[in-house]
Amino acid sequence: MLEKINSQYKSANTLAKSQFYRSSPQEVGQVFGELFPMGLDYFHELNPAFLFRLTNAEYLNKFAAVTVRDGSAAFGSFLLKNFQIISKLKTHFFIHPSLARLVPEHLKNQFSIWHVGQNKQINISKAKRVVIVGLMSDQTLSPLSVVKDHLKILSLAPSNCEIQLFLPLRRDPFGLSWKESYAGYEVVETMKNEIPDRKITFLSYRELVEIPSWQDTYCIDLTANHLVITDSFVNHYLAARGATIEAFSGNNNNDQVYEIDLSFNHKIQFSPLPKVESIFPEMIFYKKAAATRDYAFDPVFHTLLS
Amino acid sequence: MQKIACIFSFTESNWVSCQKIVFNLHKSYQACQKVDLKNFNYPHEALPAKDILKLAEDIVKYAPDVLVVMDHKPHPIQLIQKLTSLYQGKNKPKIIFHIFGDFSLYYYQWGKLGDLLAGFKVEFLVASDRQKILIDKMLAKNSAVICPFPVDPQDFYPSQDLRTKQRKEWNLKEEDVAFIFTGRLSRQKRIKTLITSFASEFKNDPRAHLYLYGGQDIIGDPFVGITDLEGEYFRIFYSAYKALPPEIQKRIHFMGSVPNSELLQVYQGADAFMNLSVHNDEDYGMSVAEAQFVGLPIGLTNWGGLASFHHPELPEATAFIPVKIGTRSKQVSVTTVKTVFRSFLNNPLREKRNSISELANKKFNVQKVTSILEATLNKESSEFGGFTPLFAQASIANQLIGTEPMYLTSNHTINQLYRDIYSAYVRKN
Repeated sequence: MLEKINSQYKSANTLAKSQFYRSSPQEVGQVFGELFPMGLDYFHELNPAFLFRLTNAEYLNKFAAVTVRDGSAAFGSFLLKNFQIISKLKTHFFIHPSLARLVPEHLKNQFSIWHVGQNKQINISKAKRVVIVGLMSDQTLSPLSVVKDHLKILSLAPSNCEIQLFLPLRRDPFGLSWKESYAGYEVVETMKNEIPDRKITFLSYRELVEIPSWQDTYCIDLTANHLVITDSFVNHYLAARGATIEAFSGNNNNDQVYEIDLSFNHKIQFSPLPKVESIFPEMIFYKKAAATRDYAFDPVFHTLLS
Repeated sequence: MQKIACIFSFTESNWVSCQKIVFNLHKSYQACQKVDLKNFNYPHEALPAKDILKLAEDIVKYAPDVLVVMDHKPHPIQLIQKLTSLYQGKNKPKIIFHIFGDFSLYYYQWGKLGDLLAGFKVEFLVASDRQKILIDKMLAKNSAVICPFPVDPQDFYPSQDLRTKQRKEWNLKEEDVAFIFTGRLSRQKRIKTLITSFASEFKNDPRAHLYLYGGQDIIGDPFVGITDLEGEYFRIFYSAYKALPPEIQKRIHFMGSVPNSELLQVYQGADAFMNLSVHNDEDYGMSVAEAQFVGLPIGLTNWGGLASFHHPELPEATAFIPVKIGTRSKQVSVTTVKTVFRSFLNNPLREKRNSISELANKKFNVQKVTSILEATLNKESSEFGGFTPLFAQASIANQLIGTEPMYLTSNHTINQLYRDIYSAYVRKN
């Protein structure tokens, strides 16, 4: 693992800037569009990228390591399509811990995990501003009951703190057909119930990126069910400008073997793959039973992953 | 009595220096003699056409002698479009445009606006002499007026008490010398060069400290084909910093962004201000002006509007670092950066802080700018005479930006168009 890290770090070869990254099947274009701006590219030397934006896994051989940003649907689909190729690749994969159970036993030595940590985090009760971010689609959000529980934390925010929402409405990224979703309205209604009589401000993406400093801000990310995405651009963007990101851990990850500062305010840490039982055999079994062109778009496959 | 319609967004720009610029420009207009000012809100957020029409009607109803477009955004084209139709067949007011560094991002809009200005008397006010050279290259018949962005001496002034307080906060001894940079930690501000030059020059000089105030950005250098991903330039300068010996790292302090109100005290604690910007929009340098008002000597790239911060009466107060437009990028003389660092370490001109502040006041304070504005308001201005072929060329290149970088040849070297425009920002030898 360390050898791969050093090799990748030295080259800083960036899949997201390479010619192999953009050429994508039509579905991927749709997914990418629906993930904007959470799916925007960012940089560190260990090569953060979405595997679903590659058409040919063999291209990965040009990179000693890749930090995987996909959620479980696209990552599971990638494994099912490429598990025979992966063992022949020289690439090491860093994945979100929630994806560890998808990795086949025989490939575990090619996988490690990443965490994002912050040295200094503020408690929501000390925040001068709370920003709630998330893509409003059913697949991207957790079930409404989970979102409701999550948003109870708002009652701890100081009464004079500003509440801002960045909640762009999106279609389900892995939905096969378009359907109406009330997710956005339901989430806002939940918030209004949780903090009645509080002024809330909606931000567009442009307004979000024009705010130069996010110091003293507590950020709640509702896109945390990990089906669609495990590594959001917006969280990195806000953290780099001073925000505390609820989804990032404090500085308490002790088993990391390597870390990279992503800003003055947050860092990514790399650790060995935890010992978890793999569900890959069930995934293979499902593959044999149900022929689907891309499992990322298969709602039954999604259920298997949850 | 002249009636002046001041047009700007009542909500502040997110570009920190522009917030101060508009505020202070407005103060300068308020101090003008024999004027009646009325403010009109042209908000940053996109307005529906009916609201823009209403704003234009309100302006026309006020019957101003002069319209002043004071802010850098939104671009005035939509408003001017409505105004020109309302002024058809009527006496037209003079229009004063305050041009900001982002002029070069909006060639297309300025071109369209130019088509609407026939019959209007206009003035283009720019903040520095090099910006005047650049803008004059774009104007066929008119000539830009230099009007610096003002600093209010109530906001920035030398203070020994604040200096003592800040030095205590920084835990510095009297003999320590603090260099300061304030602004975005941006590729075009050459932060990595600033850090590595400091480290190389002062590796054995524990008296030297470098304080950097500001947050990271992702602006890159798109005009010469360099686009940065989020975090990319941070990794470049921070890796360079982490590669330094710990003893030197301890003397380089990343302080993050601070509210503008804290900058007065921060500048007091410093001994010299450094700015290696080669930014394409560097038409002026608000932070440089403020640091000079506090009395700091300045080390600056000889690029764009930064060249204005020179005082012949006290030449040692400003040390310029040569810049040249190279084959692929703008090149800063690292040797001179180190020389400037060394010279201010040896002599930070502490006894001359009041003199530096006075000279900056004479050149850039609200009162000085008021006198320039009064002269501009009272002068017989010319009608707009169109833009030049160079402007047209830049505008076409700007519109093709999606298919090819604006200022690169097919070999990825800097093209002639860039040199034709930005030679204005470089010192002529």
